[in-house]
Amino acid sequence: MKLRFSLIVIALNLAIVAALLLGATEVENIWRYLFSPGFDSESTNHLILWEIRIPRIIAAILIGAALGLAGAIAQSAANNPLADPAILGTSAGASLGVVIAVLLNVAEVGSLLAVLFAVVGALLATALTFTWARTAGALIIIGIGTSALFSAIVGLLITSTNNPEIRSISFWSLGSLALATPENLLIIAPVFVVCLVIAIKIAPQLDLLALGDISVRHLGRSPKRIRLKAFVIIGLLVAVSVSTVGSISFLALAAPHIARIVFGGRNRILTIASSLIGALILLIGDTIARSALPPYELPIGLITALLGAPILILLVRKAALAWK
Amino acid sequence: MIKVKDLTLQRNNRELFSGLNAAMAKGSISAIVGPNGCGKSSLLLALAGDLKPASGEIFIDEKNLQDLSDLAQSQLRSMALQERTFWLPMTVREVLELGQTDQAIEGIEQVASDLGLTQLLNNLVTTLSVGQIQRVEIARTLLRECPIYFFDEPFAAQDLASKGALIEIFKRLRSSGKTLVLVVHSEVEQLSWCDQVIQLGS
Repeated sequence: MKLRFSLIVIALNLAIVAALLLGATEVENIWRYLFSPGFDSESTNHLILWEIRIPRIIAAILIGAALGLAGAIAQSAANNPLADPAILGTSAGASLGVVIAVLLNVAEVGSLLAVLFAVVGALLATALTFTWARTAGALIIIGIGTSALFSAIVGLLITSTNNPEIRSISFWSLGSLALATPENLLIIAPVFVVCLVIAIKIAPQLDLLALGDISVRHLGRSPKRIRLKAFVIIGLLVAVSVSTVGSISFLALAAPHIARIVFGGRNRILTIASSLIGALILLIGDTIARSALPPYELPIGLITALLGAPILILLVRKAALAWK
Repeated sequence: MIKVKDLTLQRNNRELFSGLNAAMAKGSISAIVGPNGCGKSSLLLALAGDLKPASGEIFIDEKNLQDLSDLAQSQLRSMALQERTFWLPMTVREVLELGQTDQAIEGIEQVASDLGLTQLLNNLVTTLSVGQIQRVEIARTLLRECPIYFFDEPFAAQDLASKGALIEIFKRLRSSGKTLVLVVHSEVEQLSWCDQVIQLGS
Protein backbone atom coordinates (compact mmCIF):
# COMPACT_ATOMS: atom_id res chain seq x y z
CA MET A 1 0.00 0.00 0.00
CA LYS A 2 2.78 2.44 0.96
CA LEU A 3 4.72 1.47 -2.16
CA ARG A 4 1.69 2.12 -4.36
CA PHE A 5 1.11 5.51 -2.76
CA SER A 6 4.80 6.36 -3.13
CA LEU A 7 4.71 5.44 -6.82
CA ILE A 8 1.75 7.72 -7.45
CA VAL A 9 3.34 10.60 -5.54
CA ILE A 10 6.58 10.11 -7.52
CA ALA A 11 4.58 10.04 -10.77
CA LEU A 12 2.83 13.26 -9.74
CA ASN A 13 6.19 14.92 -9.06
CA LEU A 14 7.55 13.80 -12.43
CA ALA A 15 4.40 15.16 -14.07
CA ILE A 16 4.93 18.50 -12.32
CA VAL A 17 8.51 18.69 -13.64
CA ALA A 18 7.32 17.83 -17.16
CA ALA A 19 4.54 20.44 -16.89
CA LEU A 20 7.09 23.09 -15.84
CA LEU A 21 9.39 22.29 -18.77
CA LEU A 22 6.80 21.84 -21.52
CA GLY A 23 4.69 24.51 -23.16
CA ALA A 24 4.11 26.56 -26.28
CA THR A 25 7.16 28.69 -25.45
CA GLU A 26 10.48 27.34 -24.26
CA VAL A 27 11.66 28.95 -21.03
CA GLU A 28 15.47 29.09 -20.85
CA ASN A 29 17.15 28.83 -17.46
CA ILE A 30 13.86 27.59 -16.05
CA TRP A 31 15.36 26.27 -12.79
CA ARG A 32 16.95 29.61 -12.04
CA TYR A 33 13.60 31.38 -12.50
CA LEU A 34 11.97 28.73 -10.38
CA PHE A 35 14.33 28.66 -7.40
CA SER A 36 15.05 32.39 -7.23
CA PRO A 37 11.57 33.88 -7.71
CA GLY A 38 12.96 37.43 -7.77
CA PHE A 39 15.36 36.66 -10.66
CA ASP A 40 14.83 38.79 -13.80
CA SER A 41 11.30 39.48 -12.66
CA GLU A 42 10.42 41.80 -15.55
CA SER A 43 11.21 39.22 -18.27
CA THR A 44 8.78 37.23 -20.41
CA ASN A 45 10.32 34.02 -19.08
CA HIS A 46 9.52 35.04 -15.52
CA LEU A 47 6.02 35.98 -16.54
CA ILE A 48 5.40 32.70 -18.40
CA LEU A 49 6.67 30.60 -15.51
CA TRP A 50 5.15 32.42 -12.54
CA GLU A 51 2.01 33.98 -14.01
CA ILE A 52 0.95 31.29 -16.45
CA ARG A 53 2.58 27.90 -16.04
CA ILE A 54 2.75 27.52 -12.25
CA PRO A 55 -0.82 28.73 -11.54
CA ARG A 56 -2.01 26.39 -14.27
CA ILE A 57 -0.13 23.42 -12.80
CA ILE A 58 -1.63 24.17 -9.40
CA ALA A 59 -5.06 24.51 -11.01
CA ALA A 60 -4.70 21.13 -12.75
CA ILE A 61 -3.65 19.44 -9.51
CA LEU A 62 -6.40 21.04 -7.42
CA ILE A 63 -9.21 20.58 -9.92
CA GLY A 64 -8.11 17.05 -10.83
CA ALA A 65 -8.02 16.19 -7.13
CA ALA A 66 -11.41 17.86 -6.53
CA LEU A 67 -13.04 15.91 -9.37
CA GLY A 68 -11.36 12.65 -8.33
CA LEU A 69 -12.64 13.14 -4.79
CA ALA A 70 -16.14 14.15 -5.93
CA GLY A 71 -16.36 11.06 -8.13
CA ALA A 72 -15.24 8.72 -5.35
CA ILE A 73 -17.82 10.16 -2.95
CA ALA A 74 -20.57 10.12 -5.60
CA GLN A 75 -20.03 6.43 -6.31
CA SER A 76 -19.98 5.51 -2.62
CA ALA A 77 -22.98 7.71 -1.76
CA ALA A 78 -25.06 6.27 -4.59
CA ASN A 79 -23.61 2.78 -3.99
CA ASN A 80 -23.31 2.60 -7.75
CA PRO A 81 -20.19 2.32 -9.93
CA LEU A 82 -21.78 4.48 -12.64
CA ALA A 83 -22.53 7.46 -10.44
CA ASP A 84 -20.45 10.54 -11.14
CA PRO A 85 -21.18 14.26 -10.84
CA ALA A 86 -21.96 14.48 -14.57
CA ILE A 87 -24.46 11.61 -14.43
CA LEU A 88 -26.12 12.69 -11.17
CA GLY A 89 -26.81 16.15 -12.66
CA THR A 90 -24.42 17.92 -10.28
CA SER A 91 -22.18 19.31 -13.05
CA ALA A 92 -25.11 20.51 -15.19
CA GLY A 93 -26.64 22.13 -12.09
CA ALA A 94 -23.39 23.95 -11.37
CA SER A 95 -23.22 25.10 -15.00
CA LEU A 96 -26.75 26.47 -14.83
CA GLY A 97 -25.90 28.36 -11.66
CA VAL A 98 -22.90 30.03 -13.31
CA VAL A 99 -24.75 30.80 -16.55
CA ILE A 100 -27.60 32.45 -14.63
CA ALA A 101 -25.10 34.48 -12.57
CA VAL A 102 -23.27 35.68 -15.68
CA LEU A 103 -26.40 36.40 -17.72
CA LEU A 104 -27.90 38.39 -14.84
CA ASN A 105 -24.64 40.37 -14.78
CA VAL A 106 -24.14 39.68 -11.10
CA ALA A 107 -20.91 37.72 -11.43
CA GLU A 108 -18.04 36.83 -13.77
CA VAL A 109 -16.87 33.31 -14.53
CA GLY A 110 -14.51 32.21 -11.77
CA SER A 111 -15.57 34.85 -9.22
CA LEU A 112 -16.62 33.95 -5.70
CA LEU A 113 -20.21 34.92 -6.45
CA ALA A 114 -20.25 32.64 -9.51
CA VAL A 115 -18.99 29.82 -7.28
CA LEU A 116 -21.88 30.47 -4.88
CA PHE A 117 -24.39 30.32 -7.75
CA ALA A 118 -22.71 27.12 -8.92
CA VAL A 119 -22.98 25.61 -5.44
CA VAL A 120 -26.71 26.37 -5.33
CA GLY A 121 -27.23 24.92 -8.83
CA ALA A 122 -25.14 21.82 -8.09
CA LEU A 123 -26.90 21.07 -4.81
CA LEU A 124 -30.34 21.73 -6.31
CA ALA A 125 -29.77 19.37 -9.26
CA THR A 126 -28.26 16.64 -7.07
CA ALA A 127 -31.07 16.93 -4.55
CA LEU A 128 -33.66 16.67 -7.35
CA THR A 129 -32.01 13.52 -8.71
CA PHE A 130 -32.07 11.84 -5.32
CA THR A 131 -35.61 12.99 -4.54
CA TRP A 132 -37.00 11.84 -7.87
CA ALA A 133 -35.22 8.48 -7.80
CA ARG A 134 -37.21 6.30 -5.43
CA THR A 135 -34.86 3.35 -5.65
CA ALA A 136 -31.11 3.02 -5.96
CA GLY A 137 -31.66 1.35 -9.34
CA ALA A 138 -33.51 4.38 -10.70
CA LEU A 139 -30.79 6.78 -9.62
CA ILE A 140 -28.64 6.66 -12.73
CA ILE A 141 -31.45 6.97 -15.25
CA ILE A 142 -33.12 9.78 -13.27
CA GLY A 143 -29.71 11.47 -12.93
CA ILE A 144 -29.23 11.34 -16.69
CA GLY A 145 -32.69 12.93 -16.99
CA THR A 146 -31.91 15.71 -14.51
CA SER A 147 -28.58 16.32 -16.21
CA ALA A 148 -30.22 16.54 -19.65
CA LEU A 149 -32.86 18.93 -18.30
CA PHE A 150 -30.33 21.31 -16.73
CA SER A 151 -27.97 21.09 -19.72
CA ALA A 152 -30.84 21.91 -22.08
CA ILE A 153 -31.71 25.01 -20.05
CA VAL A 154 -28.02 26.04 -20.08
CA GLY A 155 -27.92 25.59 -23.87
CA LEU A 156 -31.14 27.55 -24.40
CA LEU A 157 -29.94 30.41 -22.17
CA ILE A 158 -26.59 30.61 -23.97
CA THR A 159 -28.10 30.61 -27.46
CA SER A 160 -30.97 32.99 -26.74
CA THR A 161 -29.14 36.05 -25.40
CA ASN A 162 -26.81 38.66 -26.86
CA ASN A 163 -24.77 39.06 -23.71
CA PRO A 164 -21.14 39.88 -24.64
CA GLU A 165 -19.81 37.42 -22.08
CA ILE A 166 -21.52 34.67 -24.02
CA ARG A 167 -18.34 33.80 -25.93
CA SER A 168 -16.45 33.18 -22.74
CA ILE A 169 -19.30 31.00 -21.50
CA SER A 170 -19.41 28.97 -24.70
CA PHE A 171 -15.68 28.35 -24.44
CA TRP A 172 -15.98 27.59 -20.75
CA SER A 173 -18.76 25.08 -21.26
CA LEU A 174 -16.23 22.92 -23.16
CA GLY A 175 -13.82 23.03 -20.23
CA SER A 176 -10.35 24.58 -20.23
CA LEU A 177 -7.74 25.09 -17.55
CA ALA A 178 -6.60 28.25 -19.38
CA LEU A 179 -9.53 29.93 -17.64
CA ALA A 180 -8.14 29.39 -14.13
CA THR A 181 -6.65 32.49 -12.50
CA PRO A 182 -4.56 32.74 -9.30
CA GLU A 183 -7.62 34.32 -7.64
CA ASN A 184 -9.65 31.20 -8.52
CA LEU A 185 -7.02 29.04 -6.88
CA LEU A 186 -7.50 30.95 -3.64
CA ILE A 187 -11.13 29.79 -3.69
CA ILE A 188 -10.54 26.23 -4.91
CA ALA A 189 -7.67 25.35 -2.55
CA PRO A 190 -9.46 25.91 0.79
CA VAL A 191 -12.70 24.34 -0.50
CA PHE A 192 -10.80 21.24 -1.61
CA VAL A 193 -8.89 20.95 1.67
CA VAL A 194 -12.05 21.32 3.78
CA CYS A 195 -13.93 18.80 1.62
CA LEU A 196 -11.06 16.30 1.79
CA VAL A 197 -10.87 16.57 5.59
CA ILE A 198 -14.65 16.08 5.93
CA ALA A 199 -14.58 13.22 3.41
CA ILE A 200 -11.86 11.41 5.36
CA LYS A 201 -13.88 11.97 8.53
CA ILE A 202 -17.14 10.56 7.13
CA ALA A 203 -15.38 7.78 5.16
CA PRO A 204 -16.45 4.99 7.57
CA GLN A 205 -20.07 6.13 7.19
CA LEU A 206 -19.72 6.10 3.39
CA ASP A 207 -18.35 2.54 3.67
CA LEU A 208 -21.58 1.47 5.38
CA LEU A 209 -23.65 2.47 2.34
CA ALA A 210 -22.17 -0.53 0.49
CA LEU A 211 -24.53 -2.65 2.63
CA GLY A 212 -27.62 -0.98 1.14
CA ASP A 213 -30.07 1.35 2.86
CA ILE A 214 -32.03 -1.31 4.76
CA SER A 215 -28.95 -2.77 6.45
CA VAL A 216 -27.57 0.71 7.22
CA ARG A 217 -30.85 1.55 8.97
CA HIS A 218 -30.69 -1.77 10.81
CA LEU A 219 -27.36 -0.63 12.22
CA GLY A 220 -29.15 2.39 13.68
CA ARG A 221 -27.70 4.84 11.14
CA SER A 222 -29.55 7.06 8.71
CA PRO A 223 -28.51 6.43 5.10
CA LYS A 224 -30.22 9.65 4.04
CA ARG A 225 -28.20 11.71 6.49
CA ILE A 226 -24.94 10.12 5.33
CA ARG A 227 -25.86 10.82 1.71
CA LEU A 228 -26.80 14.41 2.50
CA LYS A 229 -23.31 15.06 3.84
CA ALA A 230 -21.85 13.43 0.74
CA PHE A 231 -23.97 15.61 -1.57
CA VAL A 232 -22.87 18.81 0.07
CA ILE A 233 -19.22 17.80 -0.44
CA ILE A 234 -19.81 16.74 -4.06
CA GLY A 235 -21.77 19.94 -4.71
CA LEU A 236 -19.00 22.15 -3.32
CA LEU A 237 -16.20 20.36 -5.17
CA VAL A 238 -18.00 20.29 -8.50
CA ALA A 239 -19.18 23.89 -8.09
CA VAL A 240 -15.66 25.27 -7.59
CA SER A 241 -14.26 23.33 -10.51
CA VAL A 242 -17.13 23.86 -12.95
CA SER A 243 -17.41 27.56 -12.13
CA THR A 244 -13.72 28.19 -12.82
CA VAL A 245 -12.72 25.85 -15.65
CA GLY A 246 -16.02 24.47 -16.97
CA SER A 247 -17.12 20.86 -17.32
CA ILE A 248 -14.30 18.34 -17.59
CA SER A 249 -15.98 15.06 -18.35
CA PHE A 250 -14.98 11.49 -17.50
CA LEU A 251 -12.28 12.28 -14.92
CA ALA A 252 -14.62 12.01 -11.93
CA LEU A 253 -15.82 8.62 -13.20
CA ALA A 254 -12.42 7.15 -14.09
CA ALA A 255 -10.23 8.31 -11.17
CA PRO A 256 -12.13 6.49 -8.38
CA HIS A 257 -12.36 3.27 -10.40
CA ILE A 258 -8.62 3.29 -11.04
CA ALA A 259 -8.00 4.16 -7.37
CA ARG A 260 -10.27 1.36 -6.17
CA ILE A 261 -8.58 -1.30 -8.25
CA VAL A 262 -5.15 -0.17 -7.00
CA PHE A 263 -6.03 0.62 -3.35
CA GLY A 264 -9.24 -1.31 -2.54
CA GLY A 265 -12.74 -0.19 -1.68
CA ARG A 266 -12.43 1.45 1.75
CA ASN A 267 -13.33 5.12 1.49
CA ARG A 268 -10.70 6.49 3.86
CA ILE A 269 -7.89 5.40 1.53
CA LEU A 270 -10.02 5.86 -1.56
CA THR A 271 -10.70 9.57 -0.95
CA ILE A 272 -6.96 10.30 -0.86
CA ALA A 273 -6.04 7.88 -3.65
CA SER A 274 -8.78 9.09 -5.99
CA SER A 275 -7.75 12.72 -5.37
CA LEU A 276 -4.13 11.89 -6.22
CA ILE A 277 -5.04 9.95 -9.35
CA GLY A 278 -7.44 12.69 -10.48
CA ALA A 279 -4.68 15.27 -10.01
CA LEU A 280 -2.18 13.10 -11.90
CA ILE A 281 -4.46 12.46 -14.89
CA LEU A 282 -5.55 16.08 -15.19
CA LEU A 283 -2.00 17.42 -14.87
CA ILE A 284 -0.62 15.05 -17.53
CA GLY A 285 -3.69 15.68 -19.70
CA ASP A 286 -3.39 19.44 -19.45
CA THR A 287 0.35 19.39 -20.16
CA ILE A 288 -0.34 17.39 -23.33
CA ALA A 289 -3.32 19.61 -24.20
CA ARG A 290 -1.26 22.81 -24.14
CA SER A 291 2.07 21.53 -25.51
CA ALA A 292 1.25 18.85 -28.10
CA LEU A 293 0.27 21.13 -30.99
CA PRO A 294 1.53 24.64 -30.13
CA PRO A 295 0.24 27.26 -30.39
CA TYR A 296 -3.13 25.50 -30.44
CA GLU A 297 -4.62 24.15 -27.26
CA LEU A 298 -6.45 20.84 -27.41
CA PRO A 299 -9.72 20.44 -25.45
CA ILE A 300 -8.76 19.04 -22.05
CA GLY A 301 -11.81 16.73 -21.85
CA LEU A 302 -10.62 14.85 -24.93
CA ILE A 303 -7.12 14.36 -23.54
CA THR A 304 -8.28 13.18 -20.09
CA ALA A 305 -10.58 10.69 -21.83
CA LEU A 306 -7.75 9.53 -24.13
CA LEU A 307 -5.49 9.05 -21.10
CA GLY A 308 -7.97 7.77 -18.54
CA ALA A 309 -10.10 5.48 -20.71
CA PRO A 310 -7.37 2.96 -21.70
CA ILE A 311 -6.08 2.79 -18.09
CA LEU A 312 -9.64 2.28 -16.84
CA ILE A 313 -10.50 -0.35 -19.43
CA LEU A 314 -7.25 -2.26 -18.89
CA LEU A 315 -7.52 -2.26 -15.10
CA VAL A 316 -11.20 -3.24 -15.06
CA ARG A 317 -10.52 -6.04 -17.55
CA LYS A 318 -7.61 -7.29 -15.45
CA ALA A 319 -9.69 -7.08 -12.27
CA ALA A 320 -12.54 -8.96 -13.98
CA LEU A 321 -10.12 -11.75 -14.94
CA ALA A 322 -8.93 -12.02 -11.33
CA TRP A 323 -12.56 -12.30 -10.21
CA LYS A 324 -13.08 -15.42 -12.30
CA MET B 1 -40.91 -11.72 22.70
CA ILE B 2 -42.58 -10.58 19.46
CA LYS B 3 -46.35 -10.22 19.13
CA VAL B 4 -48.14 -9.69 15.83
CA LYS B 5 -51.72 -8.42 16.16
CA ASP B 6 -54.26 -8.35 13.30
CA LEU B 7 -51.48 -7.55 10.85
CA THR B 8 -52.34 -6.67 7.26
CA LEU B 9 -49.55 -5.97 4.80
CA GLN B 10 -49.75 -4.34 1.39
CA ARG B 11 -47.15 -3.82 -1.28
CA ASN B 12 -47.72 -1.74 -4.40
CA ASN B 13 -51.40 -1.46 -3.36
CA ARG B 14 -51.77 -5.25 -3.38
CA GLU B 15 -52.80 -6.96 -0.18
CA LEU B 16 -50.34 -9.72 0.73
CA PHE B 17 -52.24 -11.08 3.72
CA SER B 18 -54.63 -9.75 6.33
CA GLY B 19 -55.47 -10.24 9.99
CA LEU B 20 -52.33 -12.21 10.88
CA ASN B 21 -51.89 -12.98 14.57
CA ALA B 22 -48.72 -14.60 15.84
CA ALA B 23 -46.35 -14.66 18.79
CA MET B 24 -42.67 -15.54 18.82
CA ALA B 25 -41.46 -16.42 22.33
CA LYS B 26 -38.06 -15.53 23.74
CA GLY B 27 -35.60 -18.36 23.06
CA SER B 28 -37.55 -19.85 20.18
CA ILE B 29 -37.18 -20.41 16.45
CA SER B 30 -40.13 -19.53 14.20
CA ALA B 31 -40.19 -20.41 10.52
CA ILE B 32 -42.32 -18.49 8.03
CA VAL B 33 -43.33 -20.64 5.06
CA GLY B 34 -45.63 -20.28 2.08
CA PRO B 35 -45.69 -20.02 -1.71
CA ASN B 36 -43.77 -17.36 -3.67
CA GLY B 37 -45.23 -13.87 -3.38
CA CYS B 38 -47.38 -14.61 -0.32
CA GLY B 39 -45.54 -12.01 1.76
CA LYS B 40 -42.97 -14.02 3.73
CA SER B 41 -40.11 -11.58 3.20
CA SER B 42 -42.50 -8.66 3.60
CA LEU B 43 -43.57 -10.01 6.99
CA LEU B 44 -39.91 -10.17 7.99
CA LEU B 45 -39.40 -6.59 6.78
CA ALA B 46 -42.44 -5.49 8.79
CA LEU B 47 -41.06 -7.21 11.90
CA ALA B 48 -37.76 -5.42 11.27
CA GLY B 49 -39.56 -2.08 11.03
CA ASP B 50 -38.85 -1.53 7.33
CA LEU B 51 -42.37 -2.01 6.01
CA LYS B 52 -45.24 -0.11 7.58
CA PRO B 53 -48.32 -2.28 8.23
CA ALA B 54 -51.48 -1.36 6.29
CA SER B 55 -53.25 -2.14 9.57
CA GLY B 56 -52.53 -4.01 12.78
CA GLU B 57 -49.62 -3.77 15.16
CA ILE B 58 -46.31 -5.37 16.02
CA PHE B 59 -45.06 -5.42 19.61
CA ILE B 60 -41.56 -6.24 20.74
CA ASP B 61 -41.30 -6.82 24.50
CA GLU B 62 -44.71 -5.13 24.93
CA LYS B 63 -43.51 -2.01 23.08
CA ASN B 64 -45.16 -0.96 19.82
CA LEU B 65 -42.54 -1.22 17.08
CA GLN B 66 -43.75 2.02 15.50
CA ASP B 67 -42.94 3.97 18.66
CA LEU B 68 -39.32 2.81 18.73
CA SER B 69 -36.58 4.95 17.20
CA ASP B 70 -34.25 3.56 14.51
CA LEU B 71 -31.50 3.39 17.11
CA ALA B 72 -33.68 1.54 19.64
CA GLN B 73 -34.78 -0.89 16.91
CA SER B 74 -31.17 -1.46 15.85
CA GLN B 75 -30.31 -2.64 19.36
CA LEU B 76 -33.19 -5.12 19.32
CA ARG B 77 -32.61 -7.02 16.10
CA SER B 78 -30.06 -8.09 13.56
CA MET B 79 -31.21 -9.18 10.12
CA ALA B 80 -29.71 -11.14 7.23
CA LEU B 81 -31.17 -10.06 3.91
CA GLN B 82 -31.85 -12.61 1.20
CA GLU B 83 -30.08 -10.98 -1.69
CA ARG B 84 -26.92 -9.00 -1.58
CA THR B 85 -24.63 -7.85 -4.31
CA PHE B 86 -21.31 -6.15 -3.83
CA TRP B 87 -19.50 -4.16 -6.49
CA LEU B 88 -16.86 -2.60 -4.25
CA PRO B 89 -13.57 -4.52 -4.04
CA MET B 90 -13.68 -5.03 -0.26
CA THR B 91 -12.38 -8.16 1.42
CA VAL B 92 -14.75 -10.43 3.34
CA ARG B 93 -13.13 -9.22 6.57
CA GLU B 94 -13.71 -5.58 5.60
CA VAL B 95 -17.38 -6.26 4.87
CA LEU B 96 -17.80 -8.08 8.19
CA GLU B 97 -16.26 -5.10 10.00
CA LEU B 98 -18.70 -2.58 8.53
CA GLY B 99 -20.61 -0.80 11.29
CA GLN B 100 -19.57 -3.32 13.97
CA THR B 101 -18.42 -2.57 17.49
CA ASP B 102 -14.84 -3.41 18.54
CA GLN B 103 -16.18 -6.32 20.55
CA ALA B 104 -18.02 -7.71 17.52
CA ILE B 105 -14.90 -7.34 15.38
CA GLU B 106 -13.01 -9.52 17.87
CA GLY B 107 -15.56 -12.27 17.19
CA ILE B 108 -14.97 -12.35 13.42
CA GLU B 109 -12.54 -15.31 13.49
CA GLN B 110 -14.98 -17.44 15.48
CA VAL B 111 -18.05 -16.63 13.35
CA ALA B 112 -16.04 -17.12 10.16
CA SER B 113 -14.89 -20.50 11.40
CA ASP B 114 -18.48 -21.51 12.31
CA LEU B 115 -19.65 -20.61 8.81
CA GLY B 116 -16.71 -22.02 6.86
CA LEU B 117 -15.48 -18.58 5.83
CA THR B 118 -12.02 -18.63 7.43
CA GLN B 119 -10.20 -19.31 4.16
CA LEU B 120 -12.15 -16.53 2.46
CA LEU B 121 -11.58 -13.70 4.97
CA ASN B 122 -8.97 -11.99 2.82
CA ASN B 123 -10.70 -12.66 -0.50
CA LEU B 124 -12.61 -9.91 -2.28
CA VAL B 125 -16.39 -10.19 -1.86
CA THR B 126 -16.70 -9.53 -5.58
CA THR B 127 -15.09 -12.94 -6.23
CA LEU B 128 -17.49 -15.01 -4.09
CA SER B 129 -20.30 -17.34 -5.16
CA VAL B 130 -23.92 -16.58 -4.26
CA GLY B 131 -23.83 -19.16 -1.45
CA GLN B 132 -20.63 -17.71 -0.02
CA ILE B 133 -22.01 -14.15 -0.12
CA GLN B 134 -25.08 -15.41 1.70
CA ARG B 135 -22.88 -16.90 4.43
CA VAL B 136 -21.00 -13.59 4.69
CA GLU B 137 -24.36 -11.86 5.17
CA ILE B 138 -25.34 -14.38 7.87
CA ALA B 139 -21.94 -13.93 9.56
CA ARG B 140 -22.42 -10.15 9.51
CA THR B 141 -25.81 -10.62 11.15
CA LEU B 142 -24.49 -13.02 13.81
CA LEU B 143 -21.61 -10.69 14.77
CA ARG B 144 -24.11 -8.21 16.19
CA GLU B 145 -25.23 -8.98 19.72
CA CYS B 146 -29.04 -8.59 19.75
CA PRO B 147 -31.96 -10.37 21.44
CA ILE B 148 -33.70 -11.00 18.09
CA TYR B 149 -32.33 -12.36 14.79
CA PHE B 150 -34.13 -12.38 11.44
CA PHE B 151 -32.94 -14.49 8.49
CA ASP B 152 -34.50 -14.22 5.04
CA GLU B 153 -34.09 -17.55 3.22
CA PRO B 154 -30.76 -18.42 4.89
CA PHE B 155 -30.64 -21.85 3.18
CA ALA B 156 -31.51 -20.69 -0.34
CA ALA B 157 -28.05 -21.14 -1.88
CA GLN B 158 -26.50 -23.52 0.67
CA ASP B 159 -25.41 -27.12 0.17
CA LEU B 160 -26.50 -29.83 2.64
CA ALA B 161 -23.39 -29.54 4.85
CA SER B 162 -23.67 -25.76 5.15
CA LYS B 163 -27.38 -26.07 5.81
CA GLY B 164 -26.70 -28.52 8.63
CA ALA B 165 -24.06 -26.22 10.12
CA LEU B 166 -26.49 -23.28 9.96
CA ILE B 167 -29.22 -25.23 11.74
CA GLU B 168 -26.75 -26.06 14.53
CA ILE B 169 -25.84 -22.36 14.84
CA PHE B 170 -29.52 -21.41 14.99
CA LYS B 171 -30.19 -24.00 17.71
CA ARG B 172 -27.22 -22.70 19.70
CA LEU B 173 -28.60 -19.16 19.50
CA ARG B 174 -31.94 -20.42 20.73
CA SER B 175 -30.31 -22.13 23.72
CA SER B 176 -28.70 -18.83 24.66
CA GLY B 177 -32.15 -17.24 24.80
CA LYS B 178 -32.25 -15.53 21.42
CA THR B 179 -35.45 -15.21 19.41
CA LEU B 180 -35.07 -16.30 15.78
CA VAL B 181 -37.47 -15.77 12.89
CA LEU B 182 -36.60 -17.30 9.53
CA VAL B 183 -38.20 -17.26 6.13
CA VAL B 184 -37.66 -20.69 4.61
CA HIS B 185 -38.70 -22.65 1.55
CA SER B 186 -38.69 -26.08 3.20
CA GLU B 187 -41.46 -28.62 3.59
CA VAL B 188 -43.14 -28.28 6.98
CA GLU B 189 -42.04 -31.88 7.87
CA GLN B 190 -38.39 -30.83 7.58
CA LEU B 191 -38.83 -28.07 10.13
CA SER B 192 -39.15 -30.18 13.26
CA TRP B 193 -36.15 -28.34 14.75
CA CYS B 194 -38.22 -25.12 14.72
CA ASP B 195 -40.58 -24.30 17.59
CA GLN B 196 -43.35 -23.07 15.33
CA VAL B 197 -44.17 -22.77 11.66
CA ILE B 198 -46.15 -19.79 10.45
CA GLN B 199 -47.90 -20.71 7.22
CA LEU B 200 -48.79 -17.81 4.95
CA GLY B 201 -51.01 -17.77 1.89
CA SER B 202 -52.62 -21.18 2.32
